[in-house]
Amino acid sequence: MNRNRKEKKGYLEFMIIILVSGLFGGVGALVIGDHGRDVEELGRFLESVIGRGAFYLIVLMSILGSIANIYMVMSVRKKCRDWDGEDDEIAEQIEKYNNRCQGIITCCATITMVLSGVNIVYAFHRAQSLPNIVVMSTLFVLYSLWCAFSEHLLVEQTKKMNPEKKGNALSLHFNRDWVGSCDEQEKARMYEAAYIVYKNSFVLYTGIFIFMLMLTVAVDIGVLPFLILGIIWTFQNVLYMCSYEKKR
Amino acid sequence: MSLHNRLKEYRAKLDINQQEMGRRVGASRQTISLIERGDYSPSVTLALKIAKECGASVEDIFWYVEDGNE
Repeated sequence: MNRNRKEKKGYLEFMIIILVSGLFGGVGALVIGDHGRDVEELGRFLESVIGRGAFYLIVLMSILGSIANIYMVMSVRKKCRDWDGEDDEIAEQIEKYNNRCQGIITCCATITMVLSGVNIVYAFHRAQSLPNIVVMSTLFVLYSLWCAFSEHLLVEQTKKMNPEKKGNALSLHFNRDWVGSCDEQEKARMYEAAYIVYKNSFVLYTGIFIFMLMLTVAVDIGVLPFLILGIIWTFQNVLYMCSYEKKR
Repeated sequence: MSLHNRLKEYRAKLDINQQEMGRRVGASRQTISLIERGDYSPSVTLALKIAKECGASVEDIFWYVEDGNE
């Protein structure tokens, strides 16, 4: 295909995307606008369920998450102990398992952080008893600390298997030290994964923006969500551009 | 175009595991494993280091095959 035809095809695709997005956005806004009260009620219902349930979810996640952390750390340590230091295939399996465990711990800690935010909103702006807030805060802090320590233990296991790796997971300079001890393949992989995250965040932010726009037709969500999204989006773009220029 | 190699054979001749090979050339065990499987093409610097460690030339260890000629 020659360049002209490729360019024309690109313009056509762009126009189709705009038209389809406009159509979906328009229909969505119309539906939400038509059922404004229903959407508002649904929003209130969901907020109430999440808000009231957040406390119990934090309790549940802290307990189950802590037990899961112990299990994951112990199983990685056992696998490392059983490894003879020679079998490369087993080493690879252990590393994959270790990485997954670290990913699960990070995700659980993030979910708990969000839930505690919801709980604090409920505590200060909706009716909720003080003992609940104290229990929630204590559990949240303890669980976060335990997650950080579990990740530290898992990183130490990775370091045992790969003596060239450096960095203390509890240190503020961990990322710098860790990346510094990675070789070309590991760095390339990390940067590629980071770029995929950057690229996909555009789709996510656009989706959130359109969703909020449609929601505004029916419910007053205020300006804060738009401002927060704008700050995150702009910060990410500026940081990407600066880092790209710096790497030249 | 894909890069093929005989790194595993050379490593077997040296009687060392991937960890040790990685240590000698300044790479991780994982990188050596990916190179051996043909899932990662090393940089010129790393390819030269590997060749030096194996006591061979880069061309002895690495060669590429045009797509469709494999």
